[in-house]
Amino acid sequence: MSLENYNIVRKNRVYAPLLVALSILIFIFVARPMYGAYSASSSELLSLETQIEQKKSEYAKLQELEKSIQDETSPFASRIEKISQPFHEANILEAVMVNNDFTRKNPQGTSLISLGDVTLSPGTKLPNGLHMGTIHLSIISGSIDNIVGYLTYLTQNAPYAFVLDTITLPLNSTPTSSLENSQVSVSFQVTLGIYYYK
Amino acid sequence: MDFFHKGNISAKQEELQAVEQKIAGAQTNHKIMIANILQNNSIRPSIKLDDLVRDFRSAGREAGVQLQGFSIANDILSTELISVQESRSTDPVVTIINMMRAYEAASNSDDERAFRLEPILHVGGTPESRNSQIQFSITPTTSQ
Repeated sequence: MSLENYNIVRKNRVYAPLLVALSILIFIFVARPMYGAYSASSSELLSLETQIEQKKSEYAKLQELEKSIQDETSPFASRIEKISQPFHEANILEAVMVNNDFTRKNPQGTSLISLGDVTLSPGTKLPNGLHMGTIHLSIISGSIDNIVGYLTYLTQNAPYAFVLDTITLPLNSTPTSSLENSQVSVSFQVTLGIYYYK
Repeated sequence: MDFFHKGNISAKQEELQAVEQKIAGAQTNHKIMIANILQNNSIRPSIKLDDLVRDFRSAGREAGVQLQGFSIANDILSTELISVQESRSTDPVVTIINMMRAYEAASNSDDERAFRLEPILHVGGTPESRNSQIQFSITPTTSQ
C-alpha cells in the first residue's frame, strides 16, 4: 500500500463515524419531525374528507326531505303541516269548539255535540324533538255516533295533529243489531294529545 | 411541493364550512326538521275511531256473540264477550271457539281487519251462558 492510499484510508476511518452520526442527527431532528408532520396533516386531510362526505350525505337527506314535503296533497306532507302548527291556544280552541260541523250551532240553537270544560296544556318536549301538548274535553251528545264522528274529525281532519290513544265508550256489539246503544245520550271526558314543533 | 397538504386542508375546511352552512340553512325550515324527526322516530299513531267502531259493531254480529263495552288503551281494544246457548245440546263456548278459529284464519290470510283477536285463555259462566274478557290488538295506523 502506497503512502497516499494509507492516508485516504486513515481519513475515512475518521470521517465515517462522523458521517454516520450526522446522518442519525439529521434523521432525528429533521426527517422524523417532517414525517410526523406529514402523517398528521395526512390524517387531518382524511378526517376532513370523511366529515365532508358525512355532511354532504346529511345535506342530501335534508334535500330529499324537502322534496318529499313539496307535494302538499300527500299524507306525509299533510301530517307535517299539522305538526308544524304552533301551540296557539286561540286557534286550537277555535278548531275544537267553533270551526267544525259537530259543535257549530244550527238556526235552532242546537249542535250535534256540546262541549263542557275544555282544558289545554302545552305539555313538554319529547326526546324525539317534538312537543306533546294535551287537550281535555268534556263532551255531551245525544248520540255516540256523533261523538265518534267528532273525535274522528279531530284526529283525522282538524288542522292540528291531535292523537287519541285512550278512550272508553258505552258501545255494544250484538248478534242481532249492530247499532244498539248508538242513540243513547252520552256524557264523558276524553284527553287528546297534540303533536307540535317549536 | 405541497408537502404538508396545507393548501388541500384549507380548501377542505372551506368546503366543510360551506356544506355546514347549507345544512344550517335547511334546518331553519321547521317542516324539514319535522320530516326529519318523523323519518327517524316513530310517533304515536292516532286511532281512526270511526273505522274501529264500525268493525267492532260488525264483529259481534259476524261471530254470533255479544260484545259489551268498548275501551281502548295502548292500541288494545278491550271488551267483554258473552255467548248464550243457542240450543240445549250445545255449550255456547262452541260459538266462541268458532270465533277464535275465524280470527286465527284471518290473521294467517291477507285479510285486512282493523284488529286481531288476542288469545282467549279464560272462559267463565255456565253451560247456558259463557263469558270472557277479551282483547283485540289494533292494527296501527300512521295517518293523522
